Amino acid sequence: MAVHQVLVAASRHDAVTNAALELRSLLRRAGPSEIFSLYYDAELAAEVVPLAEFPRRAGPSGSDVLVFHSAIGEPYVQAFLMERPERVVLVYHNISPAPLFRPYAPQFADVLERGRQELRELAPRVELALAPSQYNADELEEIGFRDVRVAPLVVDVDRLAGSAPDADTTFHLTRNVEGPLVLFVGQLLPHKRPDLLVQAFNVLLTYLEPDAHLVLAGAGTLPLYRRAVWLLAHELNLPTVWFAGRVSDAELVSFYRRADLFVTASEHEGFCVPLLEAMSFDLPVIARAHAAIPETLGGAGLVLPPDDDPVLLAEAMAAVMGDEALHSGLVASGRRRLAEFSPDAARATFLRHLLEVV
Amino acid sequence: MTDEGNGAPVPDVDALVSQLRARVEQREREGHYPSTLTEEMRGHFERIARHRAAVDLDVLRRQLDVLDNASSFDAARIPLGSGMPGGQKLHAAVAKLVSRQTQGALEQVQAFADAARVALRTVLSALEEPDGHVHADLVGQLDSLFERLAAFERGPAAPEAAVADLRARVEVLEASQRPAPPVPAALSPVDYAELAGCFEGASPVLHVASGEGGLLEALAAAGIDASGVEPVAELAERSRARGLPVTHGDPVTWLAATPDESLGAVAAVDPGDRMPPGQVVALVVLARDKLRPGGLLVFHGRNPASLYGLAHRVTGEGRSLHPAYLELALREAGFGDVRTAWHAPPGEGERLHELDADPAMNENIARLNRLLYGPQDYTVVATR
Repeated sequence: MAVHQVLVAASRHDAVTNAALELRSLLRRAGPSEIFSLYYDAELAAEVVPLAEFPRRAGPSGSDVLVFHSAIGEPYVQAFLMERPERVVLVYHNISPAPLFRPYAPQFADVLERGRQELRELAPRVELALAPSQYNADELEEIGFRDVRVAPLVVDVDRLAGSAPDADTTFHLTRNVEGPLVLFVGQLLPHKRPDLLVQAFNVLLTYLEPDAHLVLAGAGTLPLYRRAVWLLAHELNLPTVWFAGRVSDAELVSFYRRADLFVTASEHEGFCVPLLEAMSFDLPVIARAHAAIPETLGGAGLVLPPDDDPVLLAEAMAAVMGDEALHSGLVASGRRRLAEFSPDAARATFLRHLLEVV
Repeated sequence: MTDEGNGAPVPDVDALVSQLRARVEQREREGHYPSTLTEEMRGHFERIARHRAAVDLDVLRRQLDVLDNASSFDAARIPLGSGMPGGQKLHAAVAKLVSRQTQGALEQVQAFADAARVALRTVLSALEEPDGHVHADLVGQLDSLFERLAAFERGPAAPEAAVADLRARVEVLEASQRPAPPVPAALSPVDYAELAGCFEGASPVLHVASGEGGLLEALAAAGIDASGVEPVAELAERSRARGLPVTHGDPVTWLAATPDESLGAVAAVDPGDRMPPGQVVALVVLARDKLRPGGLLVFHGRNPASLYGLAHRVTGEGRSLHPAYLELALREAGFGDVRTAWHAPPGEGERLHELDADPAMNENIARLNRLLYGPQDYTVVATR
């Protein structure tokens, strides 16, 4: 018997793909396991098998299990899952809320909405639904899934924390960045609210900490939104905001090592891996109380109310920069929280749930 | 704050948020923040986000309507009139004669026109919704372009290839203009035996970019456990042939793979010659983790601030790093104790001599001596 995974799209530096790769390492200890994906980056060609090849590679067996990672809608994948005889286990990474995307990409918003509809249709086919957070689990139960369990993602932050930094990026940061550095890691997408973060940074720089820098590390895949956030920083005359784009692991390590605090203004996360990464680099975390963020932080960060208040966010950044005891307290609580996300424990939890199905 | 008793105090986040809110309100009352600040920034972003490139599609719509009205082909609309006597009858007769062929041709034209109108309508609707037709590949290409721009911004000021090309041309020019000056006696080779003295009690020592292995030999003679990593295969092989424990590899990669707190010292001789500045910084950052507490990071190099040293340096000797640069990088990386020692001052016979009779002149001569005849070498020793 084989346990294969199905993705809609696979790319480097993507949390869903990383989760699938982690699980594959685990599953291959027990038997054959492949990752099938409808779309994938060329650089992942050696890791991922095209979904169209599934019948030839996996055969007609109905005794296998398919682990489907859901994060977006896709009719072809939906039809594939509905037609195949294998049992289906869902890992729900959450689907971003469509209304935030509609002003910038109406068709993409349609895809997100269709994803939720497809989940409803898929529910009877799914024998077990796994959610990395209680927040995601609640959504699945509301949609109509019967057997929903919380299983934390396998996140090996030690791998990143132990990696070598990128020499050029470290050199650039050493040479050009003086003063406190605020770091955000995540895609420049509407639900992550980098626009609010830039507004808060404007307040910080103008009224509270004139030497501060802000790095936003992550790709911006919606051109209209990305352009709007860039223009905002430009028109607010914020020369110390650096949109680093998609970065390599080594570059990310350089940013994490140099940063003084990690801040996200995101208002929708199913889990939010960068929060744990930041803790592993001993960075205090500031975030807002949205979606699964408070649950992932578990009291280990400065969680602000969910309202859109850039001034409050700026004051929080200044407070953490200027108060050594607060800074140390947040770092220490981050370390404690991180210890609760043991990769081995997460692997064991996943396997325990999966064994009940196979 | 409360204390869990197992580490630093845990902040009381709720109380802190209340304090922050109160601080914001107080500062707003005091006029520290403009009362409309938040609304202005929000409104500003909304205006930017709503902005779309204006395309006047009404003209295209009207032209398509005209096309719709003109796209009905019928043999009855082909004029038969003629100015010649009997011409109209002739045209009608010819039209009747070829009516079958005319109808066939008209039907083909009609089919083409219908298809073209549908295609143009589709193009129009795509233009009305620009987000709907931006090809994914194009978006990807734009992303790649922005990423390359970002990488360029992060990278060194000049591309490596351009710098190498420039350096090669400068070397050719220098060689054509003047013969390379001989190495003066004052610029003696690095005194490895003296340098090895820095590492007493610091085993094991890792020498990065260990070159010909001179320092490793001196360390072995002093009874200090040491090994090297050398990026040039030929040099590494030459060292190994002399029985020295040298591995061929990239020093930064090698150091990254070394267990934390496992080294007593890390040494680099002429770091600017052997590594670009970015690699030196990476080396400093990594060494901090790989050295045990109290461990040493030692840089020995040529002093670029010594004009005498520069004037007598052979062409193409490399890019000496200023010790102040290394001191800054070391302090930024968290090394607590950073000290610089100077070596190889030019001989007294080389320096300008003081004139006993004129104190003011002597002061100037002393200043010139400091400027021109500074020590040629330095050693920066940083303690973790």
